[in-house]
Amino acid sequence: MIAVLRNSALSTIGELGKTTLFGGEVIGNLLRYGTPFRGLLLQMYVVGVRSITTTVFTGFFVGAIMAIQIHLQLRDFGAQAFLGGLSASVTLRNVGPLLIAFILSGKVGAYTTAELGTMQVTDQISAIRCLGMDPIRYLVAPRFLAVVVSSFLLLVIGLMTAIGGGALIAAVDLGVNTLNYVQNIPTIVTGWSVLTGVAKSFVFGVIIAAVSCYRGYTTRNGASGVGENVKSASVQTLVIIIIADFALSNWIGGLMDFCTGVLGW
Amino acid sequence: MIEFKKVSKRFGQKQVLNELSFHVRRGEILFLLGRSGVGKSVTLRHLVGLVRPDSGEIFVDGREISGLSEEEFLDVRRKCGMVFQFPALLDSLNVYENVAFGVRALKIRPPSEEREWVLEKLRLVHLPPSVAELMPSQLSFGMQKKVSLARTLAIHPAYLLFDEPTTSLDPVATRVIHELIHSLSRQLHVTSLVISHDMDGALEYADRILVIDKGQIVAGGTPAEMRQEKHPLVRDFLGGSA
Ligand SMILES: Nc1ncnc2c1ncn2[C@@H]1O[C@H](COP(=O)(O)OP(=O)(O)OP(=O)(O)O)[C@@H](O)[C@H]1O
Ligand SMILES: [Mg+2]
Repeated sequence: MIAVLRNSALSTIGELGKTTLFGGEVIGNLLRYGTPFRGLLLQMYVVGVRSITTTVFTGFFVGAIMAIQIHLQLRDFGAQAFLGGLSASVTLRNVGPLLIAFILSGKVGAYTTAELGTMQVTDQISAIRCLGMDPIRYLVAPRFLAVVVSSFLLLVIGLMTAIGGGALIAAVDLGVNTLNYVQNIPTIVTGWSVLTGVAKSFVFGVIIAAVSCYRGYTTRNGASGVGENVKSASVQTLVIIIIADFALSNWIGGLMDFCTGVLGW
Repeated sequence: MIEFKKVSKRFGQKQVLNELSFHVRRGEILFLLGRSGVGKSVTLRHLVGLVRPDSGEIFVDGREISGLSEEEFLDVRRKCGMVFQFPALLDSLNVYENVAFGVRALKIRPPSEEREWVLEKLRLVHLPPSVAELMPSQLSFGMQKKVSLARTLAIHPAYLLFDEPTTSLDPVATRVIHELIHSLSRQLHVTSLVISHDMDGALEYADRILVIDKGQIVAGGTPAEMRQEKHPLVRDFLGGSA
């Protein structure tokens, strides 16, 4: 039992390491050779544009749910005036990036893993090598960058919709005047909240890209292998995102304390 | 000439190649037969650097290739053209772009001569120029295999490596592909290494046949010699064609 746990822990850490190395290789390749702009746009269209509806939909409801929940808490203290700021802040800093990244890992990430995995098991990737082209440069690099950029943009769009969703539900359902709601936002949402949201969005995008590309690229065992890897990639992405969320919340909190306390910003 | 010298390869617990030794002579058509899963594809993949041996040496025209870097392997890939078991066409590119892919990447012909070169390869595999603009998904499986062959011919290799070229084709298409392998080898003076488990085809089209089992060559000879071979595995293979 303990041996099983230890082995699975070790292999998880091993996979993490390999994924990191792979991500590093792809980024190195991008820095060295760049990637054709047209190919990048095409990939962004393929992975990104088709996820806009889902993201907007999710973002709206995340914002609405946060507004309702926080309203219930604030009402007990008669502090409804803080609704706009508090719900926008919580959405931006934590719940928003996390939930939207989860949705994106199921869409953008799964698509990428399945596509690269299919190309691997049908020997398209081997064929590219035999024809003298580096598949990392030709196939993986543009997809990786497209996933990072699309996920980031989608997350930002999702966060903005979430704040809009919060304001709307506050006006329609909770009887909070929209102007009051919006005016309250800047009193609690600081540059740090925005920075936190943006930084998390970027890091989560990189995680989705690295895991989905690595898992797709290393697929074996035919069609069943593709299915297997799509599944394990999405689970792995979610776990890593949660851990990264924890780490980032800590670091950015620490950085904020440092800047305000020590530097007096 | 291609030569394998005591090449061993294992994946995890599984010893796939066990001191495998054989050679392919310039200009011949060599069929390598074996049951499913004995490592035929793995053997071929060594020649294009998709798999590296654990031990042993592999020579292509006298140059030892198992220690070459990915960069140095480009020379070998210009020489050894692999035709995969699945057509392995890039589904985002049309037929023309697929065939031109290696021509560009390996700088086989200058851009000005590319179009003529590509269309000629399609002609060699009996495909009309009109397929050039089609996407792979619009072609039948047999036609995709032909495009795949044209794509490999386009890099102008001295050695053609065929991984089960006729598996999952109907008898008519099988004959067409075998005839193509035969005529192209003779016409273009290339050496063909064909992996198969089709003893009938081998007896008809091979100059020489080798049978691989448990990671080693267990029998070999000309088609006439193979008909007389006593090895039980060869008798099994012959069983279907007796
Ligand atoms: N990259 C790899 N990683 C792990 N195992 C592999 C790899 N490539 C091949 N194998 C294993 O090596 C063995 C031989 O595979 P190979 O594909 O060469 O068989 P084959 O003789 O071509 O069979 P078939 O007729 O089915 O194509 C199989 O058991 C396969 O699972
Ligand atoms: Mg095979």
